[in-house]
Amino acid sequence: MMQLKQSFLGLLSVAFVMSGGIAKADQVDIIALISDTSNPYWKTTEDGLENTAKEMGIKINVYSLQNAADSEGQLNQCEAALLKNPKAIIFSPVDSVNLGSCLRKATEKKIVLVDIDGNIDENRVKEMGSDVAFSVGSNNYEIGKKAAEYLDGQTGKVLIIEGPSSSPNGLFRVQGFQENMGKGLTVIASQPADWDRLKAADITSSVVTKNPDLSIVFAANDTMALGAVEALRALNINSVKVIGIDGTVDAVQSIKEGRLTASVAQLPYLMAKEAIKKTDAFLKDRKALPFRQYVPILTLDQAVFERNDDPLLQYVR
Amino acid sequence: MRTYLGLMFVGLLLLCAVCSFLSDVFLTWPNFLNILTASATIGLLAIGASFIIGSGGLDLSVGSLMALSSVVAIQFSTHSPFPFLQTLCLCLVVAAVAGGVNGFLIGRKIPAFIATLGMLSLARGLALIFSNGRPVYGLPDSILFLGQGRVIGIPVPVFIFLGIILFCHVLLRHTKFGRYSLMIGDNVNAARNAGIRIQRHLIWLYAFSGMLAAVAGLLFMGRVNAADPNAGMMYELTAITATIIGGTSLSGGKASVIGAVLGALIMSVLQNGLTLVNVPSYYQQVAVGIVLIVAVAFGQWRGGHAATN
Amino acid sequence: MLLRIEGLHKHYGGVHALDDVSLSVDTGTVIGLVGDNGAGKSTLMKCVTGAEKPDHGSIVFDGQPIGLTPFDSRQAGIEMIYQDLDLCLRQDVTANIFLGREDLVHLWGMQTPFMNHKAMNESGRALIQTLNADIDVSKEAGSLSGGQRQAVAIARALLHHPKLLVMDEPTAALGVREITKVLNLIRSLKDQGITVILISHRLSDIFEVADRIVMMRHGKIVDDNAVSETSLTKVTQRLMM
Ligand SMILES: Nc1ncnc2c1ncn2[C@@H]1O[C@H](COP(=O)(O)OP(=O)(O)O)[C@@H](O)[C@H]1O
Ligand SMILES: [Mg+2]
Repeated sequence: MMQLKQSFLGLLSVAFVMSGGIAKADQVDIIALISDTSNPYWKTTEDGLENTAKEMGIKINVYSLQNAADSEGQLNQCEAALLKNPKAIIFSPVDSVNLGSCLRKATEKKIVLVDIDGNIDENRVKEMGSDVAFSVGSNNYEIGKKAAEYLDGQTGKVLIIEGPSSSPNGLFRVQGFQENMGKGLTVIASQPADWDRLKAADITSSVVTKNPDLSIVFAANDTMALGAVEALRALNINSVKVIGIDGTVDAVQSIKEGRLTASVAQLPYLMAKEAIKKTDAFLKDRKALPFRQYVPILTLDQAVFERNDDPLLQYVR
Repeated sequence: MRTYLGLMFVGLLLLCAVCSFLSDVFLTWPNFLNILTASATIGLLAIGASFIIGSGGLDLSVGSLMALSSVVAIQFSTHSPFPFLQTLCLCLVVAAVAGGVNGFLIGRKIPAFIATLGMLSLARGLALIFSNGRPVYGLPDSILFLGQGRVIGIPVPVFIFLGIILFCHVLLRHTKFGRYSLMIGDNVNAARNAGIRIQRHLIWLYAFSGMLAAVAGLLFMGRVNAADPNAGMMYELTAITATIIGGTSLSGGKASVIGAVLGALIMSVLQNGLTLVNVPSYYQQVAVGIVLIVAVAFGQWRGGHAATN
Repeated sequence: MLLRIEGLHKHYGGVHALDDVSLSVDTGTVIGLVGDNGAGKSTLMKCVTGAEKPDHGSIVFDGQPIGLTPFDSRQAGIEMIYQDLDLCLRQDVTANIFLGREDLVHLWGMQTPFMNHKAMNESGRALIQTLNADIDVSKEAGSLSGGQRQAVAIARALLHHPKLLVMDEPTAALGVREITKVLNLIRSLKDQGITVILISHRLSDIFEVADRIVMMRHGKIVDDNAVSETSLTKVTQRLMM
């Protein structure tokens, strides 16, 4: 035991002496706190953040979560980030308040705060005493609206597959869709499938069995849309159009194969790129921007891929 | 046990040395406080787990009980004239009742794994029902103070953590409650034949585990500003990991509060250090797995060694 | 009369382990309980200590109907040294001796919830010494030899001066010298007025210390004699039948 202690103390002192000369991982310009990177959306965001920062010569650390609901873990990461004194923190909170205390401290330390993915409520953040410069993300209402516009001029019965009732994003998408739907369309059912492929498939099967003249399925994300596609194929129905949201890899594949009709793509890579660029510009000129900084969205269908001329297509992964 | 804890402590210091070698921020007072605060929730659950595992049992429901107790407590105390007291009491009572149900079932020969696995799902479901699946915002300031407040510059969760460590250490080593828990884990027949009322004890034991989860839930909600029905997901496994790293054997009869706390600190230092050094989260999971296996293999080897003496 | 058992029945699934057993035990006597393996000796005694619940029948101890749990029977003054000794092998000797009977610290005449480790260690050590055993009471029970474990189990049983002590095959795993110790102990307990029921396969032991020999077979009592009225050969013959 004694010997162990001595050798340990020796090691410790060596470490201290050496640590003076070694390059530390501490100097960093931007720290980004994002969600769970096992989700392709956040993995693409992470790539976008890191690649863009590298291209621009900005030092960035990206902290991601192992579990999208880990609000305390993210708070711990945020507290750790504060100690590194970055110039800016780009964050996407697990829920609208979990980072509250940390963001307040960041504001006191004059660290620039930028929201990414647009889930925070501007007023609530202000109430909690933190100053967020702006928020970069897609407009979920616009996304739903885009899907509705894609169906312009069509007629028939519509099934809406919603996200979980707890998700504001899902609600805005559905709202955007419903409020901008063409006159010829009637919604016969609107049910939540909680972002779940199988639930979406079950809902689709039962609705289409009762309503064989169903013509359109709108799902609040691609996972559910693909579930609907599978259910329809299993019933040998080819006449129903299915529209999803996100433009995931699977969805793109399905569109190219002619199964999924269309997907309104969010472009996380572009979102990440914009976030870095705008943050960098803000750090340089401190020019205030409108709070909501929307990232363009792109409706994907077979025709778009065939033309292959939209510049935004480079951000579709 | 004692030598193992000594070596664990050396291991922890070594880990700190490596981290401070890679990051100047690591070995600072504010970061030290960060680590202590971050380890409080898992630490409390790990202390509970050391009692439970020491008794030869298992409690998989603690993560869900964190969520259930905090959600129910907040939902039913928003308009109370004494929001703090009511939240505190409700939190403890809800978790104690749910834990008591665990203990009751286990006393009636339902395997602990199954009883608490059922409670894991049941309590999580109830938490989602009571909160409509959404975090409940707008906590009383007094609860926020529990999670975010500071007294003489030290975060309140740290005080609560230290207080409960002391309380539980005394409970385990110096009261019949602690001793009987270990006796039951060591030889349940002997304990029963010696006149210990096993069924009654198990109810209290699991209720106690639930109450520690409730305190963890209070700290959690104070820290993140919300009573979150998704709080504490997978925390039960992290807590068990910390307890095992801390030297508690899965076969029962032995436990250490200090060990559980050391285990939680090791996990917390790993997470904090790897974050500061900017190691991606995938590698953090790998590191936790390696530490667990190395610690247990080491304990195994040392245990075998002691047995041949 | 200290103990009266009447019409006791116990089934384990299809096995009729106790079949209408009645037995009375006088205060201050030593009873030898003999019979083949599986005769029901242990089961009968476990019913007395509350370790097992009889299906039917009554047990009266010291004038009171007995409760059905080990807690109640220990309260009433019944101690049993079980065949497997019932030690917690990962706990120290003191903890094992005081299991279920822990001393608490008293402050200003008030009981605190804290265990009095010092007092327990001291009286545990003293008790072990009176048993002529050489054991470090701070050692884990799992590190002790068979004879030492036996001593710890005896110490636990004697801690609070029981009225009835049941010993289930206490000499089965012991050497000659240790057996003599146990028999001497039984004699001295008898002198102190403690009633002892000794289950054993070693008839010679029983003839050395017992006043009465009770024989069981297939869950029934088949023979019950004062030692003075029978002999080793007779009992051996009865057992072989
Ligand atoms: N826990 C138990 N479960 C099932 N059967 C048992 C149990 N305990 C004892 N028995 C059975 O009851 C009968 C009496 O056993 P026991 O009282 O241990 O006999 P003895 O002590 O005389 O050797 C045996 O047939 C034994 O197999
Ligand atoms: Mg027997």
